[in-house]
Amino acid sequence: MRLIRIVWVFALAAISVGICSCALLFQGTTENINIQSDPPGAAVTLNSGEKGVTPFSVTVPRDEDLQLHFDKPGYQSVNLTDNSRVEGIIALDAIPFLIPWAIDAAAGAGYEHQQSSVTAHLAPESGTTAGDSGKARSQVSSPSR
Amino acid sequence: MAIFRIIASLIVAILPLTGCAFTTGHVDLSYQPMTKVTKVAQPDSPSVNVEVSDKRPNPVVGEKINGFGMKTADIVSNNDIPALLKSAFETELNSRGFTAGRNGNTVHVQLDNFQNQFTLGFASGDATASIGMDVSIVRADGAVPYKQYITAQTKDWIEVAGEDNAQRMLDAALHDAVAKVFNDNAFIDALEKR
Repeated sequence: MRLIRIVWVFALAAISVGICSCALLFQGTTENINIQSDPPGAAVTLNSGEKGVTPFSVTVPRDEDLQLHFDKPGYQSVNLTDNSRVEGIIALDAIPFLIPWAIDAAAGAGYEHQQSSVTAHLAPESGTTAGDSGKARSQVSSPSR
Repeated sequence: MAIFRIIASLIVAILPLTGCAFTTGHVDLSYQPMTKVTKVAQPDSPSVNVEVSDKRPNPVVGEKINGFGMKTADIVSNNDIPALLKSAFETELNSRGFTAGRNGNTVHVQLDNFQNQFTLGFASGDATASIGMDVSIVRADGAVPYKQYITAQTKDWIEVAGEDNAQRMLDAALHDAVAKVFNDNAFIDALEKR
C-alpha cells in the first residue's frame, strides 16, 4: 500500500516536471503569420506600424491581436483582424496546480493567432456600390488551424 | 471524500486571486491637444471641413482579462469616438489658424481601429492601445492631394487590466495618432493650397 502511494507521488512529480510550461519550452513566444492578398502587391500596414507588400510574412508576439490594413491602387482598401486566443495545449498546464499555466500565460507562449495565414480579397474600385462596406468586401481565407 | 474537500478548497482559494471581472467596463476618453503649436494658415488659406467615418467592426475598445489571460468582459467607451476624433482634428486645425467651412478642403478620416489590448507579464502586465485610420484631403474639385494610412500604438506596464488603464492608453494613442497627422508637413502643405 505504501509502495503504491510512493509510486503515485513519483508519477505525479514526473508528470508535473514533464509538462511544466510546455508551450513556452516547445513553441516560444512568437509566431509566424503569412500575409497574402488577391491580387498580390497590396501595401499592408499592421497595428504595430510595421509595413509590407503582399505576399510576406511577419513574426509577431503570440499574445497580441493583429489588425491589418490592405491598400492597393485601383482597389478598395480592406481591414482584417487576426486575434490572439488561448491555445488548447495550455490545458495540460492545469495539471500541476496551474503554475505552468501562469508561466505560459505571462510569457505569452500559451496563445496562438486564429489564422496563421491571412488573405485579403481586394475588390476593384469600379463596379462597386457606394454603400459597400469594408467589412462586406473583406474575406479571410480558410484558417489553417 | 477528503480529496474532494481539498480540491474544492483549492479552487475557492485560487478564484479570488485570478482577478476575474465579468462586468462591462466603461471609459471616458478625452483628447489632450498638442502644445507648442504655431499658426501656419495664411489669410487666404482655404477653409477646412472635417468628416469622420467609423469603419470599426464593433464599438468595443478593449477587453478585461483575468490572471490567466482569459478575456472576461468588454470595455466600451461612453464617448462617441468618431465625434471625439472629429473634435480633435478641428481643435488642431483651429490652433493652426485654419477656419472651419465647407467651401474649401475636406479632411476625410476613416477610423478602422481603435482599441486597447491587455497582455499578461510575470510581475505585471502590459496595456497596448492601437489606432488605425485612413486620412485624406479632398479639394473642392475632387482632387486628393494627400492620402495616408496612419497607425499609432502606445504601450505601458500595468498592474490591473481594467478600464482605468485602458482609458489612459487609448487617450495617449489618440494624441499620438493626431500628432502624427499634424506633424506631417505634406498634410499641412496640402491644407494650405486650394
